[in-house]
Amino acid sequence: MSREALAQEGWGTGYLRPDGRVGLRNHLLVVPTCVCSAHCALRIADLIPEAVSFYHQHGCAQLASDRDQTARALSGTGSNPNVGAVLVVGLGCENVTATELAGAIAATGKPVAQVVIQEEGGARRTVLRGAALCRGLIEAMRATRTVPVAPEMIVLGVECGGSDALSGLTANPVVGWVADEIVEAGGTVILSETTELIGAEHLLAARAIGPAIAEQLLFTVRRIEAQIKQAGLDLRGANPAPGNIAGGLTTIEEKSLGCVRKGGTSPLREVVPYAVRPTTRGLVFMDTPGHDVESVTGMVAGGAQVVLFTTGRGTPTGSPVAPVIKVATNDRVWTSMRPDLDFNAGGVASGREGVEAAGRRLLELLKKVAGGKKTRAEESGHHDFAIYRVGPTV
Amino acid sequence: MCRGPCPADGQTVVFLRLGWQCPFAGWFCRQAQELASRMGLQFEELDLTGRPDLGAPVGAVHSSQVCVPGWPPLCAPRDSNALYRQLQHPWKDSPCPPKPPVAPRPAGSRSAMALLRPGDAGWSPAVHAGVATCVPPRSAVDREHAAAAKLSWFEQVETTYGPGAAILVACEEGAAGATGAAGFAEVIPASAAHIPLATLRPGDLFLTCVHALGEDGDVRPRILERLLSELGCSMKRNSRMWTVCGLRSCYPNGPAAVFEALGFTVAGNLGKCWLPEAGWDDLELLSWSPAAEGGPRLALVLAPEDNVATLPWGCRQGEPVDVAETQPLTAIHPVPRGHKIALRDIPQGGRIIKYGQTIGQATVPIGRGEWVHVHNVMSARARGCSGE
Repeated sequence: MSREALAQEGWGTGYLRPDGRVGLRNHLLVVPTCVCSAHCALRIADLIPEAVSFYHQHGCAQLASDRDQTARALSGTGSNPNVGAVLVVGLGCENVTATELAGAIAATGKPVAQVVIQEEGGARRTVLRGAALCRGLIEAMRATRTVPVAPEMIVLGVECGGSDALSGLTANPVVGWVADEIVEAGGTVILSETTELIGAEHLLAARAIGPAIAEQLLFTVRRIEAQIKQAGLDLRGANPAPGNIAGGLTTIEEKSLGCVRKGGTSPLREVVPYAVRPTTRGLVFMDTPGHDVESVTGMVAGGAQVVLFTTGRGTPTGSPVAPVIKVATNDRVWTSMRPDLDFNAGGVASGREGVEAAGRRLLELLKKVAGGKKTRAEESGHHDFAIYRVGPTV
Repeated sequence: MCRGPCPADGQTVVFLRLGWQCPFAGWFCRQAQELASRMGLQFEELDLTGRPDLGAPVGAVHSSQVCVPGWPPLCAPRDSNALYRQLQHPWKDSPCPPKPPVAPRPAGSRSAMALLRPGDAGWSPAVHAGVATCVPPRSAVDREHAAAAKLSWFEQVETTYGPGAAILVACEEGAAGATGAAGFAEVIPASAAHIPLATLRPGDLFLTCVHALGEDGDVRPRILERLLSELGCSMKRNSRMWTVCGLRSCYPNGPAAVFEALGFTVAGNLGKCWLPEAGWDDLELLSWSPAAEGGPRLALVLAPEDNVATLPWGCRQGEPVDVAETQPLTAIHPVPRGHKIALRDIPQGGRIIKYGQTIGQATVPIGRGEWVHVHNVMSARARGCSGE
């Protein structure tokens, strides 16, 4: 099959949302507005087999920029096309209100309901009322139309976590190959992790479509580096993390040069803030920390329906709404953490297969997952969720 | 937890050994034994081949044919020379992985194998030609064909032996760049086995460790098929047979595949039973073919201007490292898996270059062949406390 045709076919069917985006899953998502309503949200989701939820510790006592970031991450996750309907669970006195979140998500046209603990008269009533509302939302979701998925509908997040020295040699180039295919076929790829651009930002900036985009990228990296220096701290020990160092990564520059390869070789079209939906197709950079779960959460809130996640040390990370395909960088982790991993790119190091051959295999897996095949993280029910904090709790 | 037909208590798991050529057969056998004990099953080892005490060759040599009475002549694939050399390698006597004890030779048993060379009576040029064509040039396409062939064979076996029966065909990759892979085609009839088949009870399970080329047309699956049909009556009626294997470099996948083949979901808490007691390093070092033959360690140089190379499998102190340079490079320090080695002398303060980019500065002078890591390299970025 020609390179052009490779990414075009075999994507299966997806769920057409009222805003025109196409979901690869059809989740009913129960979103807590703040930490105080998080357990009620989980309890509601426990009662409803179709529902997923997640825990987070934010939504209240946050300064403006931080509060906005939380609201954006929560409404973005609810707006993700993999979500068919949303129940917002609020407390009643928090910064990020249920009405605000439900309104932001309802703007996408999908069915949204809300329940507020203080208005219902307590947690128990909230859970019962929430479960009843969920049944109505499930009815509303039945009307969802399915359509054939085309690659231009795909928003792919690429992530690496628990990196080792082989990440930049095996799995990241393989994921980069797939990212190039998706971009070439008209889709969107979100690269993230600003901290892990330090030392490699000039390579990505050189691929920006214009000087403004390049400057945005360089500014984003300079800002995080300046924050670290201002704090009088040394990045080493936090990033590269002890496991990265044990795996052979010596400096952040070395790690970054490997990390950046998972974005492929396409031109950089846009730089977006954390949890903001890109306005263009093609390769986009999102300003997230190197923290895996915060980064994946940001990309999914930005509309990524599926994530390719490379790991050399191994991690079980998943997402409540997006399938996360975990790609092993070496045979050893593929063996030792097999139940958490979906794909082995370790053959690239031993010469068993080339980057392109592995990339083709991974693209086929990506298509299968897009068509409904569950990832290991989905099978295990790993619903990791964490929001990037940019301010103190007050 | 159980997906397919599960073994019942009291059943016996039999480890069916089809060769000594696999460096990890002994280790694999122990893992299978542990797995069996966790599952509350009896365990026995059934050795069908390669026993020096039978007077049979442990391995066949280049262009040899192996003849088993009553069987058509079989031929070893072309590259078994390489494997024969490996058989002389110290791993045979090293503590990792230990070999299970060989049971004493039963009184009166004889060698059932004969080694044929070109010109000997019974030598079949046709079989040899067939084997030669079954080791095609290695390419992604060939591998895809081989995988498809294996899958269809797998399905065929499932059809033959009923739902739940599964044979996963071994796929043993050779050294990178090698044209063939090591392998054997010798089989000893069940009558020569240590454990008489008569002692097995209906319903017993077979765990089989098979090394195969993984190429389309590999003779060994067919040998196994013959063996199956020889044991066939009871197999078909009462038993399920499992053949388990993995890629050579991730050979310890075997037990996980065994477990999955038995219809279980592999759970995280079984993870440690996959790990050899002696640790991964030796295992993987030995499994890397050039190392197993005493050759230089693979080193990856990512850009021509790089002054460090990455050793995916690491190396021991004093070992030669393959960096495709005219000057041979010897490791001054042991280098852990995935870590870097200096290709040139680097002065204090000099740039460390990987991917053709600067990844840090040398904090002390680094000599060619030294291990390069946080003890002698410092990042130039995001270091608030370094005063830069």
